[in-house]
Amino acid sequence: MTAIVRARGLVKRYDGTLALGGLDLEIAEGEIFGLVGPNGAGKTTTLRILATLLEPTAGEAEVAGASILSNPDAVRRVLGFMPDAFGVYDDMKVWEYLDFFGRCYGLPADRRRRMTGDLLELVDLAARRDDYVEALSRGMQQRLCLAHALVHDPTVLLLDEPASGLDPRARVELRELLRELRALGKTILISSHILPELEELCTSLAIIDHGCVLASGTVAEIETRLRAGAVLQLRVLGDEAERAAARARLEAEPAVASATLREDGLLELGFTGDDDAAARLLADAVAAGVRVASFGRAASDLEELFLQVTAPGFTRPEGAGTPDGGQ
Amino acid sequence: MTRIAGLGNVGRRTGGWFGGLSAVAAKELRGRMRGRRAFVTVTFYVGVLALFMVAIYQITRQSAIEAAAMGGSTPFVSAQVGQAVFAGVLLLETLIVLFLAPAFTTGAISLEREKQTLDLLAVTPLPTLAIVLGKLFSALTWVLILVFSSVPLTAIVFVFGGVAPDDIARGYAYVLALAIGLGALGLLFSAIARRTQAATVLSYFTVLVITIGTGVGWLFWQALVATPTTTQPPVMVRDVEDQANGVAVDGDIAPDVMPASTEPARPPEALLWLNPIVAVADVVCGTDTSPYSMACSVVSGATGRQSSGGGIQVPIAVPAVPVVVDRAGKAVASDPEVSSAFETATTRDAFWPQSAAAWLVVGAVSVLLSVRLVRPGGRFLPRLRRRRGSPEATPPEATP
Repeated sequence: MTAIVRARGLVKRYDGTLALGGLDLEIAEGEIFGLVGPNGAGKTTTLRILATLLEPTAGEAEVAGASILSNPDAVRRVLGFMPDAFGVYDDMKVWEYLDFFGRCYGLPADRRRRMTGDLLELVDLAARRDDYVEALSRGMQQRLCLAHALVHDPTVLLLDEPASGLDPRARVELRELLRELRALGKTILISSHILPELEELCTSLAIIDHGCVLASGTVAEIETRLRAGAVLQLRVLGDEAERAAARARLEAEPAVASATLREDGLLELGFTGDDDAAARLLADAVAAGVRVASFGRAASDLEELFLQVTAPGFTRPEGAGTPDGGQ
Repeated sequence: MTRIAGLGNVGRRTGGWFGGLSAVAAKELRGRMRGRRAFVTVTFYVGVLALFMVAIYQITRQSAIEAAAMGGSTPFVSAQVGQAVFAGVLLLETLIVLFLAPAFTTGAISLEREKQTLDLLAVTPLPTLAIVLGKLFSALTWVLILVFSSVPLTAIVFVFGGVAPDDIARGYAYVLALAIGLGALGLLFSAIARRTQAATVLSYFTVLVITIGTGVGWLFWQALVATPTTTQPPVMVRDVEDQANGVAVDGDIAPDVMPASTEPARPPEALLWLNPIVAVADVVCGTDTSPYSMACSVVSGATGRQSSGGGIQVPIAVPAVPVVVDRAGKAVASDPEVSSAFETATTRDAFWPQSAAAWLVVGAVSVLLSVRLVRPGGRFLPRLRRRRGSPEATPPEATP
């Protein structure tokens, strides 16, 4: 599969604050690609740069082979964008809204008429065709906004937090809709700060924070990486000296990369072994007289990994992270 | 092949361009014209205008009757009524444009920003110029519907006479230019300001400045620079050196240029170019039978030119044959060529075309600047400069 969206070293600086610090992204055709990160991680900035609404301070990106810098018009023609905070023209009827955007893309009248009917059918708003946009519920407006991003039959869809503010039922409907669109051959880039929302929908994920990609790949790949680089948590009984001794003993084990004693008494081990190695580690520790009250993996699923990698200080030199941290 | 493909491309692009413009304009107008609001507004406006005209008619007629009762002569009463009605309607329409043109455009861009719909437009391949012009046209269409719905009413002046069709054409041409310029200026403020409120305040402040501010400023300037002038008939200065080839150079002959010793210093006329009151006075003055009417005195005060009645030619209070003097003040000649130049210089259209042109320039500049601001990533120059300044300000903080 070829990459249809490709970003290299995207940097965006707003008045001295760094929103993106050299972000790389590659999305293959036909994927539903999830962009996950806490608020302020740079998701919206990335999407707005790809949508040609922002110029990057440095770096380059291509959508369907067209550069966002030198050929933004070509990018706009193959791109459907749904911003996270979007407004609707409230003095328009539902069909007029779609018709207007059809005109913006220069579609002829007969094609617009067909497109309006098809799209309203697709997003399940055919019955509200002649209603005013302002009379629609939030979920319906969201679907209408998604339909507006589809008027010119784009190959790439950028959806910025499409599920925010939707009730669970509407979320399920949206997920079904996106699967349907993927079946139509569209590549979808979707952002969210809620990982489970994307976990089951996306084929690939990138976790970003502070403007950098922390982990990316298919859901399975990320999960494997998580298993490989697990953190084991032990609660060790005893006084300060006893715990320090346990820490020193465990750190000497070959499968343990690091061992830190947290202030709350938990002992965290950077563990590189598999489950067998973990079992051996526990047996050895108990045999050596370490009083283990609890033993387990700190990160048990993607969401925990997400919290972990986006926690302040993680993977960043000098602990430069801000305390606004994980979601 | 390449050329044909290129032509096709150009055709498609211009087609897309106009399509985009009409898409935006149609969308805007659809919102504005929907329902009864537009119908009620136009009806109300025309009704008020009709009442206003009846009032002017009654007042002018009454004063003419009173003048007759006092034993004064009242020639051309009907023409005077026509002229008064024309002046009143033109002034009212100018006021309407002054208040409505900015009102319709100050929200054009900022409202889209506030409602977060601008991004939706910006990701379409619509050229930014098409968005800006579409917004401007739809706003102007609405203003012009109001202005032109008064044309049948204005035509009543032909019943009274005293006003020629070309006077009315002048009036509407000026109002049109004013609407374009002010509308585009409101649009620019809308693109600069983050909030519609700020754009509205800026627009009306500007309207105040151009109507009252420039007038007061001009008077103040005049009071500062004015030197006592001696009353004497306008005398012409002819550059004798230029006459060496025996051809009278029109440009050198200006009736208001007095010999250097007595020339009153006056503020530059350009200060008033954007002032719609003076321009309307100039249009109205063209219909007037007397050069000493209020409208004409405003214009001659502003420009320093003698204004003649345009509608009905009357003798002007200047020597029929001007004296031509050279720089030394010595009488040179008084030839018919010069006197004809003198006459054309004192006739009408001395001021309002400049004003209309100034407004069109303001409009064009505003549209171009708005495009710069609306375009994704587009910034106004001052803001750019500040942004460049901030990184320079950061290092000193970082060093300690």
